This record gives sequence, C-alpha cells and structure tokens, in this order.
Amino acid sequence: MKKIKYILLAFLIGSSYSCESLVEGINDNPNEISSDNFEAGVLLLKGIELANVGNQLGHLTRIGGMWSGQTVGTALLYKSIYEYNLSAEETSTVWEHAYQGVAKQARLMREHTKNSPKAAQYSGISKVLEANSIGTIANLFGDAPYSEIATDGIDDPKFDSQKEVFAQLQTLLDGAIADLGAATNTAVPEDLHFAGNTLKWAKVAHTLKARMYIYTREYDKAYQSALKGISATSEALVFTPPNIGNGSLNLNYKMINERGGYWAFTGSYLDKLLTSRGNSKTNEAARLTYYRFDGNAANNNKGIAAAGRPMTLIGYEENLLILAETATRAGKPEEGLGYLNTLRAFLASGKGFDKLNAADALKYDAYTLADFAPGGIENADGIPQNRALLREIIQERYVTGFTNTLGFDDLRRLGAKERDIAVLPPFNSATASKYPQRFIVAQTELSANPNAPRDPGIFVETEVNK
Amino acid sequence: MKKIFLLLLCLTLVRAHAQTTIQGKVTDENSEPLPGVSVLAKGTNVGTTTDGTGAYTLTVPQGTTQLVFSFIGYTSLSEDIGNRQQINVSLAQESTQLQEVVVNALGFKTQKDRAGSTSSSVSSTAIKTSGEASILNSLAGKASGVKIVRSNGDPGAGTNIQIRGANTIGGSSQPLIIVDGVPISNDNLYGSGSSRSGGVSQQSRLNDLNPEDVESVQVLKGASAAALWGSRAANGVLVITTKQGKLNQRMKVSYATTYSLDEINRKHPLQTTWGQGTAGRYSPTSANSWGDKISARPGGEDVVTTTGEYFQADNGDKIYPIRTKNSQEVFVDQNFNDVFQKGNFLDHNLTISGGSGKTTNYFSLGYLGQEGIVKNSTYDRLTVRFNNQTFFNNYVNLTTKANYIYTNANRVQQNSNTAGLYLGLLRTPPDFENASYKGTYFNNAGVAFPNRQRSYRRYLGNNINPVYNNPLWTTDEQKGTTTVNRFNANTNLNINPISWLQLDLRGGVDTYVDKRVYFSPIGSASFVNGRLDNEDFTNTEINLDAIARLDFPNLIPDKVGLNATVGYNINDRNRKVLYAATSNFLVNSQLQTFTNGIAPFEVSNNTNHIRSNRLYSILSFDFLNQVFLNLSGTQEAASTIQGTYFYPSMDLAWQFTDLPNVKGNILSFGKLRLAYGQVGVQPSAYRFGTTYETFTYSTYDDALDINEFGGGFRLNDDQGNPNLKPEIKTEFEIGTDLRFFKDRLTLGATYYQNEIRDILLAVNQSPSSGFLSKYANAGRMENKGLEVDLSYQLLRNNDYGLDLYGNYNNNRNKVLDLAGVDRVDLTNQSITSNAIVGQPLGILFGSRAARNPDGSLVLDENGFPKLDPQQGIIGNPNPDWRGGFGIRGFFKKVNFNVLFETYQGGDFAERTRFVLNSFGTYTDTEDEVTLTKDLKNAAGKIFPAGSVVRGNIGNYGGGDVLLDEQWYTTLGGGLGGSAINEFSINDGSWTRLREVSLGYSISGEKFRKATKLSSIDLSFSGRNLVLWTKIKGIDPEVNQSGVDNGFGIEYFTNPSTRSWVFSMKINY
Repeated sequence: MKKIKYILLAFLIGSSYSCESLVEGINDNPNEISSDNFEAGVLLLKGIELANVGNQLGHLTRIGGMWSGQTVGTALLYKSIYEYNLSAEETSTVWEHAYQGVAKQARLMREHTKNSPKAAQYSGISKVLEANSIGTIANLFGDAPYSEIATDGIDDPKFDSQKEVFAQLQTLLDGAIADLGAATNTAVPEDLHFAGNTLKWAKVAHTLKARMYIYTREYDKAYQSALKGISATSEALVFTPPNIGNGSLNLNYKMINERGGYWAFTGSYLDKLLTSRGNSKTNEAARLTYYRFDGNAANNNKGIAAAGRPMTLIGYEENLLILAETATRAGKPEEGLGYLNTLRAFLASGKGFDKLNAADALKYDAYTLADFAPGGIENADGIPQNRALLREIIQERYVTGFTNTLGFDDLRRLGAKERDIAVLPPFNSATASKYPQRFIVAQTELSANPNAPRDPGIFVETEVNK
Repeated sequence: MKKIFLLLLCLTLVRAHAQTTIQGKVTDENSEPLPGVSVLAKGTNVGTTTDGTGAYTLTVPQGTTQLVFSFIGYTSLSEDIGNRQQINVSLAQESTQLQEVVVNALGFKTQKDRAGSTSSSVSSTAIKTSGEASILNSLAGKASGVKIVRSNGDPGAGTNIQIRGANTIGGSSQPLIIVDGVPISNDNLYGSGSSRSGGVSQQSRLNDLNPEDVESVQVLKGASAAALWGSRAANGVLVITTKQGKLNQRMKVSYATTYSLDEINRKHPLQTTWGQGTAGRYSPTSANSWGDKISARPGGEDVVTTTGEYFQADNGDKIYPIRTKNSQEVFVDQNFNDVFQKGNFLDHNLTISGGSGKTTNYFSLGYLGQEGIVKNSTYDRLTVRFNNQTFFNNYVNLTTKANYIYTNANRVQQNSNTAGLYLGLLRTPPDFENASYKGTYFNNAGVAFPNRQRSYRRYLGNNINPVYNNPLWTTDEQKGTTTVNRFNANTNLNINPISWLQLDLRGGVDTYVDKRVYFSPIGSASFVNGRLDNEDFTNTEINLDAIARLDFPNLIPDKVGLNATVGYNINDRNRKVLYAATSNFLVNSQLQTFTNGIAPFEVSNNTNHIRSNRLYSILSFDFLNQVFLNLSGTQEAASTIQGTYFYPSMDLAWQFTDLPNVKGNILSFGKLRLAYGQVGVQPSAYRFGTTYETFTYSTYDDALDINEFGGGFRLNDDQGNPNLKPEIKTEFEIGTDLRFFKDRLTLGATYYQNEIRDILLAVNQSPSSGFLSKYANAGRMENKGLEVDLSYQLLRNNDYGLDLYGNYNNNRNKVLDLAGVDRVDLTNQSITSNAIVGQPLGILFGSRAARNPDGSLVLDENGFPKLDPQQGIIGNPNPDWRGGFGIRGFFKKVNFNVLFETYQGGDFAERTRFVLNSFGTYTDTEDEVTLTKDLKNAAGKIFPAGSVVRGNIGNYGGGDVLLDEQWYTTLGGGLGGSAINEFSINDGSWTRLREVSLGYSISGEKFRKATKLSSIDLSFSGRNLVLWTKIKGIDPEVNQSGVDNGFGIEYFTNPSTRSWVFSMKINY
C-alpha cells in the first residue's frame, strides 16, 4: 500500500503543474494592428467615406428608384423587390455600414484625433458624414437608433423617433459647421471628396440641413439653410470612382456587371416622362440618352452608369431646387422660378451631364411665370400658378434626382398629401394600392437588439409623412 | 518533469530483492518468437518482457511458484516453476472477437473488454474493400454515432466527420486525428482564393494518408476516452495505427492495383420543351427559358443575318445574329456530356515488409491517379512510407515512422459563383448549344476580338462579359490547382528498465506546403480582365511527449491491479499563409504569372500560431479481474486561453458475467459501462484584443475595396475579448456490451448525454452599437442519444460464414443559450444554416411565406402566398436517426459484404431546383396544362377555361391557382430574400447501398508451388450504387459549404458519384 501513496503523490504533484510561461505571448496578434496602439485616427476617414458612399448611392437608391418608377426590376431579386417584396435581409449591409462603418468610426476618429492640430477639421468632416449617413437611415426607415449608438456599455441602443433623430442630426450639423468654421483650412489627403477643404464641407453641411428640413416639412428653415448651401458643382459632395480594379467602380456599373439582366431603365416611368416632358422651351433628348443605361451589359454604358462616371451624393442641383421649392412655397414664385431657371441654364450649358450623342437636342430655355399660369405651357390643366410651378420643380427634382432618392422621398412626402404637384408613377404590382413608404429594418438589428420594434412593413408611413 | 523522474527513481529503490533466475523463450502457435510478452512472477510485481527473439531472463523472489505469460491478443498462461531454470512456452492466439484490442488516445493497445468508454474500430480489410480512394470516406456507415460524408463527388473533395452530433458552433467540429500516437493535421482550409459558398471544393488533409498503410482505425467517441487531449478533444478522437513488419518474418512483397469507374449518381432533370426567352417569346439573349415552344417552330435552319457581326468559333462554327429561330434542336444531353464523363482512378501499391530478430520494416509506395466525373478535374497522390522498429536490447527499442506525400489536383469551380460549372450549365436554355464556347468575335466594322468566350447570354460573344461562364470555359480554360508536399515523421523511444516501468519519449513532426493557384483567363465571368490567385500554406505541427507507464498487476495480490500512466506533452501548431492576386492581365495568355498582371495586386500574409502544453495522468485499477476503473486528469495551458484548465475523466467497466451463475448458454459475456469526462474546444488564435482591419463595403454586388483607394483602416467589426476560456463539454454515458449464444450475437448499446458550456461564438451585436459581433464564451448546447452496434453470426464454420451487422444512432442536439442573440449563422446566402436557441444546430433559416396564427398561409386576393417581411425557421436538416446495416460472409475463398446506410428525417434545401424554376430550365416547369376552369396567375391575370398554359396548377388553401412564369420568376422561384425560399425545402431523407463487395482469393500449396506466390486476391466493390431519396436532382449528402458546421443546403453544388471498383493484389 505504501507504493500507492507514492504514486498518488506523484500524480498529485504532476497534475498541479502545467506551464503557462511556455505559451505566454504567443497569442499577440501578428496579423492585424491593435486598436490600443494606433496614432493615426485619420486613416479611418476613407473608410467612413466609402461606407457612406455605398449607402447613399448603392442598393437603397436602386430600390428607391424602382419604387418611384425611375427604373425597372427585370429578373430574380430585383424583379421581386420591384414588385414590393422586400425582406429584412436586404437592408442588413446598409444598416451596418451606417452604424458600424460610419457612426462608430466617426466617433472613434474624433476621439483619436482630438489632440491633433487638425482636430476641428476632422471633427467637422466626420460629423457631416455621420449626419449624412444616419439622416438617410432615418429618412428611409423611420424610427432608428441614434441617441445611444456607438456608446461603450450600451449593447442594445434604443430606437429614437424619426423626428428626434432629425433634430439631433441638425444639432450635430450645427456643431460640424462651427468646427469647420474654427478650423484652419489645411489639406487632408485622406479625404476622398474635398481633400479637407473646410469651406466646401461647410456648404455641404448647410445643404444637408436643408434636405432634412424638407423631410420634416420645415420649409422656411430649409430655405435659410439652402441659402448657405452648395453654390457650385465644385462644392457638391461627389464620389469619383478611381476605376482601377473591381472594387473602385461606379456602383451601378459594378452592380450591372455582377448581376446582368436584373435591372433596367427602358420602360420605366422616368423613361416615358423624359420623352413626354418636352415643350417649346425644353428638350430632354440628350438627358435621356445619358440616363438610359443597359442593365444587361455593363460595358455598353457610357452615360450615368459608365465604369468611371462620378456619382453625386449631395448636389448643386438639389440645393437650387430646395431654394426654388421653398421660395415658391413661401409665396415668392418669382424667386422660386429664378432658382429653377438657374438650374435650367446650368443644364443647357452642358455642365449637368455629358452629351453623348451629338445629334440629341439639349434645350432648357428659361421659363416665365406666364408658362405656369392656367393655360400656360406648363399648366394645360389649369391649376393655380404657384402649384403648377411647384409641380414643375418637383418633377425636376424627380428627374435630376435620378440615382439618388429624391424621387422616392418626394413620392412619400407628397404622394398622398399633395397629389396635385407630386410625380405619381403607376404601381409596380397589380395588387398594390399604395406606394411603399419605408424600408424594413435590417435583419441583423432585428435579431440582436431587443429594443428593436416589430417592423410594421413597407407600406406604413414614417413619422414625418403621417 | 524532473520531479516525476525523481519520484520514479524513488519508487525503484523500494523494490524487493531477487533470488532465483529463470530463462526461456516464448513463441506463438507457429513456433515464431513472440517479442514483448510480459513475464511476471505470480503474486508479485517482479517481471520482464521478452526481447526480439522471444527470449527472456527473470530473477524471481523466493517463494514464487508460478510465472504468468501475457500478451495482448493472446491467451495468458500460468506456468508452474517447480525446479526449472529454463521455461519455454507457446502462447495461443485468442479469438479476436473475445479479446478485442483497442488503441487508446495515447496510441497504446488495451483490451476492449476492460474499457469503460465506447469506441468503434474499423480494420484494414474493411477500409480496403470499401473501394474508396481516401481513408475517411471508407469509414462511412461503419460505426454508430459517427457521421462521415464527403462534400461532393469531386476527386479529393473534403470529408466531414462528426461524432455524436455537433460539439461546437463556431469552432471546428472535426475530430482530433492521432496517427501512431502523434496528432496530425486534418485541415480543410478555404483560404482567400476560394470561398465555401462559391469556389472549388477543398481537401481534407487526412485523405493524404494512403489507406493501404493503415492497420486499423479506432474512433474514440466519448469524452472520457479523449480527455487526455484536453482542449482539442471535444469532437472525439480518431486513432489510426499504421502497418508494421513482424520480427523474424521473411520478406513479404505485395503489389495491389485498383481500378475504379465513377459516374454521376444523380442528375438534375432539365426540360427540353421550351426555348430561351420570356413570356413565351424566343430571345437569344434572355437569361431565362420561358420562351417559345420548340416543337412549334417551323424546323430547319435559323434565319440569320450574314452581313454584319458574327462569331467565329475555334471549333469551326460560324455564328450569325438570329433573325428567326426555326431550329427545333435541343442540346440538353449534349451540353451535359460536353463537361461530364465517366470518371476513374487507378491506384497502385507496392509494399515490402518483414523483419529480422531485432528489427522490423514496412515499406510502401503508392500512386493514385484519378480523373473526376467533371472533365479536367483530377487528383494524383504519391505516397512513400517507411516504418521501422529496432530492439537494441531487452530494455530499449526505437520505432520510427516516416511518410512522404505528394498530391496534385485540379478542382472545378462550383456553387454560388458565376464561373461555377453547374450554374452555367443548368441555366443554359435547352435550345442553346454550349460546344462553340470560344472563338473570335467580329463586329459590324469587321474588327476581330480573339479569344472571346461565348455563353448563352452572349451568343455572339459580342461582349467581353459572358455574365455566367459557358461550362466548357469553366472546365477547359479555368484552373484551380493545389499541390501538396507533405512529410510527417515520428519516433518513439521505448525504455523498459524494469518489468513494471516503461518510459516512452515520443516526438513527431507533420509539415506540409500546399500551393494553390486559381486562374481565370481574360473574358471569364466575374473576371473579364482575368484573374490569378496564388495562395501558399505552410503548416507545421510539432508534438513532443514523455510518458511513463507503471504496471502493478498485483498491487494487492489477486485482488487489485494498477496500471498508471503519467505524461507531459507540448504541442505546437504554426501556419503561415501567403496570398497574392491580380485581376488585370496585360496580355490574354494562359501563363499563370504575375508579370502579366497590372496593379493593384492583392497581397496578404497571415500567421496562425497556437501552442499548448499538458500534463496528464491515468490510473487504471482492476478489481478481481472483473471491475475496471480508469481515472484520468489533464492540466493544460494553451496560448489562446487565459490561465490553465483541468480536464478530469472517469470510467468504470464491470464484467458482471464473471459473477458466479450469471454466464450461461444464452449470455456468454456481459459488461456494464459508466463514463464521465470533460473535454474542450480551444478558442481560435488572436482573439484577445480588438484590432484595426481593412475591408470591402458592398450594399449589393457593388463592392468598394479600401485597397483601391490607397488603403486605410476601420475598427474591426468583431470586438476582441481578453477573457477567453475553452468551451467545455461534459459528457456522461452509460452502456453495456453483451454477447449471447457463445458470442455469436454481439450487442453494444450506449446512452450518452453531453452539455457544452461556454461555447465560443462570434455573437451578433446590435449593429447600432458599433460592432457587428463579439467573440465570446456565450453559448450552451446539448447532445443526447442512443448508439447501438449489433452483429450476429448467422452461420460459421471453417468453410463458410455469414454475419449480419448494423448500427443505429438518434442524436438529439439542442442549442440552449446564445447569450441573448437569437441566431448565429453558420453559412451565408439566402438560406442559412444556424444556431438558434431551442433548436438543433444547423437549423435552416430564410425567407418564408406569411402565415396566419393558425399556421395556414396568408393569401393575397389571387390566392397566392405572400412574402413574410421577417425571415424565420424553414427547415431542420438534422435526421431523426441514422444507421447502417449490412451482411457479410465467406464461402471458402470467396467473401462478400453488402452495406446499406440510411439517414431519416432531415430537411434539405434544394436551391438549385428552386432557382432553375425561375430560369425555366427544370422539368418542374416543363408541363403544359389545359385549364378546366378559369384560373388566376400570381399577377391576377385570368386564364379562361380551355386555355393551354405552360405551368402547373397549385392550391395554397384558397382554391386552384395557375403557377406560371409570373409565379416562378417572383415569389415561387429564384434567389435572394425576396423569393419564398421556404418552398425550396424538401425531405432530405435517404437510404443508399453504400457498399457492395465481392472478393476471391487464389492461394494454397499447389498455387504456391506453381507460381511462387502466396496468394492473389481479386475483388470487386460498388460504392453508392443505389440511392433512394425524394430529392430529385442531387445526392442530398452533398454540402454547399463543404466540411463545415453548416449543412443541409446545396446551390449549384458539384454532384456526387457512384463507383464500380476492381482490384487485384498479388502477394509474394
């Protein structure tokens, strides 16, 4: 029995021994840079901008375009979405880009760069991008998380009401404008849009404020903001695809290249509208050629969906049309018409889009108020003059806003409440009796966040459009 | 370690003093010497083992009356000493049935009847007669509770093994592989050049092993048997022993050759009635086959325009723009035969074995050359093995085993992938001929564009982008090669200084370099400018063990015996990956060189280094030779885990038939088993901290790659976690091994229950929190089930025998907790395989039809289902039960085996069929119906009674409706979250004739004299010859994501095979 004791003793000693020092340090990551040890927060900027570009110009705008009659879904997924079948899976990437790709990174970037001499510049730029991204989410989804997002210790942020989100973003943009005003205007090579130009970023911030006031129908505030907004194409927030590989192309070109046959322009309501919209002062032939993309073969596209074609996130045209609409609504039709004519002159000058076919007519003569008076060339049905003018402004927003969500936004803003001036395309589904009003909250948020409300579906108005 | 040796040294000092010396020799029944036989003075712990010539010398204490000779596999013998000083004995071999030998997790042989945990063994004969080219596939259906499925029929494709259900959610579910006591790699790596959802099949590294070299495979299923391997053992252990020569054996030479003929075992049925187009109209550029009725065409040549653009195919065909489609030709079979063939492999094996008095040798040379059923899919394997054991003297012997492997394979693209074979082939309209797939396009101005791909969407090749590859382009122009050079060697120094102590020093290295190339020439789908990926994996696993085994068979004489093992292990795994790619070629060339590439190049490198060290001990007691108790403990520290962890295990076996009056004519042997153990799963490396990462953003196939914008970072969307622990699986099992009717009926039954805690998961975070996931010990899951193995000797004598055998398992898995997240997906794409709380792992989730509270479908005003805006559970791929049953027998020199395997009750997502219904190429959409009453289609259009419409009549509970193009191209077919993917789920139960074999051996004295050969063995085997299943177009055993925890889904996955295998072995 003595032996047993020895043996058991030996095993006891053995079992308590195992060497941690042999394995120490091996698990330090040799492949990725640790976030504890990182000085150059500015390297996050490009990622924030790319995530925002994807959201403002990608899947969401294509869906919005199909639902507002600008394009047609012709096969498989896009055909199904076109006919108003949207599942929560479709919006996961967009939702993640906004919150993880933009908001989280923007806040981290502000924290990492707070001691940098360019702190105010980085802060201002990142706030504009955050407002753009989350603003689009609130616009398209309605109620959305904001007040508790990207905060240590809060795993499941609550959803704020749509109006609360817009109010917070207006404040954020005021902060951005203040930061940009206080900053020295130095070059930031990481900034893909403006290389750090604070003056241009501030203009964008004002137009973005105006855009959100339009959503909330605060037209006077929209007017005031737009007055300080983008005043030239060089100040517009634009994505210029480097076109050097498979991951830096025009987003619509890229999507058509991957999913030929899913999506088309031909036969859309916009296609027909551009043909029928002409009058003695207007000929849209050149713009139609520019817009008409080939959804089967990406390489055939030379116009709006060409591989290297720049894409506008927030444009000079939008700012002019906000001024035109809000001035007219404020009872200043002359002023409103002036802005519209400024845009028409800009289009006529050939700066608005490339004229691809020399034979196409390009004509945007200035309108007069008489053109909108009952019986005028833009008011054959004899509605009040100001309404007719607004109708043309909204129609111009619908046409100019192609590949953005302006058309879809106005359809929801005006489609029920101001049908006299709204662009009302036919329904895409024989069974529909209402236009879609919103997107379905991302499946990933619905799954993980107990604070997410039950999604009411795409036909329920968001708070601002109720 | 020093401490242990000191203790062992102390122990030797308390040894008793010796008195008499006895010598002798131990032989077997054929008078061949038996080395390694234990010789023990009865009633003491004094003993020795025989040397290479079977000789021994033992000095026994005074008063010893008997010597006990024992050796595993032989009947023990007690011999009275009397006055003899020379005692020679001969040991008789035990019937293998009675005293089955099992190899434990450390590679040592033990007796199965003494084990308290379950294991299943598969012998070398069973492996070879299966007719499989790879070791893993040959095990299918042979052991209860062990699921073995190959991911598809591609040559060299990986094999998924799962023991007793899923034991982890995010980690690897593959068992640890121990070959000759040393772990080796069974990696199944996808890397950066290919993905699980779309790409090529990847290999399981264990299939590098030549099945000819394998002596036996032992499957250790329970936690208690595997606990010695701590955090690597949760998925069970496969213990493989390779062949060795025998001492004093003449040189034996054998040459074996095997030829296998393989063919597709299930084909997707495609329609041949309707042409390319939409809405009943022909269009030569349409994606779909919802065009005109082919038989309604006038026939004859198409009317073409010969004045402008055209395509000059390399095969001589000239293709002009079609003005009127007249031809009634269909090409479904021809298109299939253009890319499929009868596959085959030829396997040669030369082995030489034998031994002298002090050494044994085994040498083998194997070469396997395989051509798959898909043209240009190949797999070649060359293996060389040399195993040697040398007995330096009575105390020291050294075993060295070295194995070199070279494999070279070309894999064909599959799955969700515009270059995938099936994707291009099965979407091709029946009236399109794929043969002229490559040539020169001339535009209207006569400008030539050489080396253009021609696909059904681009029938003139007038666009460099084919949308999907022509399948011939996939097989003939694209390459996906992998070349592996692997070397593994291990050596074991066994020292036996005194009879009751054995020391083993063991070292092993397993290293391989896997060089993979993926090449797509200019004009390939997705890569119109070409693409080249090179990916090199260098993997090295080093393993060191020092083991001491102490044997006290008479700790308390005739009452208690003790066998103790203590060991220390260091295991180090290091993998480095270098990856480079370009997707822009300067020149249209077949050269696979980066000098033909243009920036930006994708370049990345990656290191994965994990080290662990363990101290383990086992105490095995036997009481009265009928109760056996094993206790073991393992203390482990690993680089990926904070702190050290202890893994205990216990098992108990009681041979209750040793009680008086229990054994009788009916029950000949009975054992009760009880086992408990804890094992773990290691976290993956480098998950302690949150890092920065590079990324690509895509909202829907519109990727923006940060590397093309001059580079940058983002904070990782996966949050780090410095407090990682291993996943701990705690298992309890109870079972019995019974033998009846003089051992003719054998029954093993085990009930097991396990719970896995602290499962490591990339837990989904609310995206609005700023992180998408966090790696954490968050999950909890359980498995329980019954395993039964049964065999019955129906007939048995020297000339003939007939056995029935079978196995059964009904594993029930349930995910118990996911830390508040209701779903973790294991695969991506429209239908996913998931972990969902309260459901078994793997549950299928996706878009579904909206339902009323009573479960009925919500219908629109036309009587059709509607899409539920929220996705949900749509199927369970786990079977209710699975089993194998067979019959084997012999008559004189003829032997045969028939094995059926079945899988009952699991769902299967037939996504190919569902998608092809949208494309209009599957037979589901072939029929025309004559309406007997007015019916509405999904768009609400009314088709009056009497109309003849292409489609089917369906009823979703609101009366008959017309399922036509409108339905199949929107909610009722297709892909993405906006079709009702629920409708692609079907019952995936199957039963198959897994294996049939017939063998004949030519041997005997006359034959030997005539030929100087000892025998020639001939055999024929059939694999997968018959498959019974409701799944129409593919073997439901395939898995889109390959060797993966997610399963039950196929999407244009390459098909499986059935094989006829002939082999001949000449033994000299």
